Amino acid sequence: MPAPAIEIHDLKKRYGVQDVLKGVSFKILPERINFIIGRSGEGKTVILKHLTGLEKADSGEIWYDDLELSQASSKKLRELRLRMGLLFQDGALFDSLSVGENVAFPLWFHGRASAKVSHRKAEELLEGLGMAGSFVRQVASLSTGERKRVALARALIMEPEILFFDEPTTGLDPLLSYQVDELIASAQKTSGATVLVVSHDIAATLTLAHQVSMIHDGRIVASSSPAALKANPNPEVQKFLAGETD
Amino acid sequence: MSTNPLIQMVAFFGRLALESIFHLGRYSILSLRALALSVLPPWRLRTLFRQMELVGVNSLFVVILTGLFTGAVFTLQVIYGFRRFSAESMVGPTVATAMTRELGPVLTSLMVTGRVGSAMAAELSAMKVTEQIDALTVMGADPVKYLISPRILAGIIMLPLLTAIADAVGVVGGYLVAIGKGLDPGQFASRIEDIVVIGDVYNGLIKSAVFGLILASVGCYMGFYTKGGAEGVGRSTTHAVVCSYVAILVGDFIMTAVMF
Repeated sequence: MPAPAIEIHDLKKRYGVQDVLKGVSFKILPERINFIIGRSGEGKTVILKHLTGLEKADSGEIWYDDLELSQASSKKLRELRLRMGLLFQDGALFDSLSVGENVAFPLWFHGRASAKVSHRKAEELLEGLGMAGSFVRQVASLSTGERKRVALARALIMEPEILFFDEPTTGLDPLLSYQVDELIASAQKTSGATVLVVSHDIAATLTLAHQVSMIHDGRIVASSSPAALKANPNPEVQKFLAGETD
Repeated sequence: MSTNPLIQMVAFFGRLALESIFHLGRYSILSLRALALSVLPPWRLRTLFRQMELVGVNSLFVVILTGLFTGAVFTLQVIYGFRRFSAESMVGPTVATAMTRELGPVLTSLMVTGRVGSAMAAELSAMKVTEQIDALTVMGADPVKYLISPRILAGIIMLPLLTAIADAVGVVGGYLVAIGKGLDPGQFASRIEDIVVIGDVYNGLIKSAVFGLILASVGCYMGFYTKGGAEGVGRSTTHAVVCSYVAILVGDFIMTAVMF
């Protein structure tokens, strides 16, 4: 099944008295690497939670091809989620399971493969991420970088058509950040998946992205290729790219 | 906001009532949904057996201790009272009736709540605040079916079994104390057969199944809807234990009034 076209129209969300999303609209390029950038607390992760159906918008629409998320039945939503992979900011690994069980969990849970095949596939993925021999390790013993890699392996094991990454390189050293960026690029290239990365890493954004959308004050203020973004006259965009504070 | 103390008080109780209704409604929906999902396939027996082990097997020691000492101390008190009226022959049936109808089910449930209900709340809250529950959802898994249904089922299945053990151990504890206090062992046992009816045991076990449902569902509810970080985990765990205790004691009164 080809990766769906994803469109967000006028998404609004308020938490208590704070308007976090004030009418977010943008399109995600299918089968490409898309980035959402913006300062911390601007609502990047909130957009991701809406895209995965973890949060419900106050108003607005999210379209996956011809399916509007808020109108989707629980069955349709589940089917859609089986086509997604999400790398959480802190990994969100299951503490009660070993590293290998975490990676193999989606395959086991959905009965997509026998225990033997799930095991083998998880080991292959871990090996590809530089974590060979970690299958039986406990999650609690992992470093931040290792947690990210295990979470990445878990997100990839179902070979999803849509991959979401929530600040995948936050808390990693430059070398590991580079490795994770490479992994995102190679995963997209191999699978042809639609990738959406939430980040405030400007260097990675300008290197990896096919399209960048910038959120500021609850709205998307720019959505273009990295080259066009650099030439964008919006002072907020320029300030962010230059790493300037308000 | 008005500065009138009366209006402030009315507003406070109004908010409290609304909040209570909200929580009760959400708790009922979650519990009923978990129960309904537990009978629908796919059944994950491994997960259920794991929870049954945590609720039942791992609570066995504390339940046996509780049953033994409850039966023993209750017998001590009963002997002291009944000797005044030369009614020692009624000690056995009194202990057995009290254990099967009340002490076994209630004390077992309270002990298991302290051990397991709090653990359920703590585990689910930790999963909530570290986004593990969100991760399950995004994987297309229903966290209610995967996390809550087996815990509630394990509570319903294991509490009557633990209670039956506590009942038996409690009577044995009472028997040992009675002998130690010079009562006739044969009389203690035979009068139990005469007076205690099987309905006492059944009703006690039915009550304990309901308590199992309460302690597991309250623990899961508190954990599942945790807010905040580590502080939220602690708060949910405390609330789970306190609310379960209150619900078990109130439920016990209502069921006793209906059953006996």
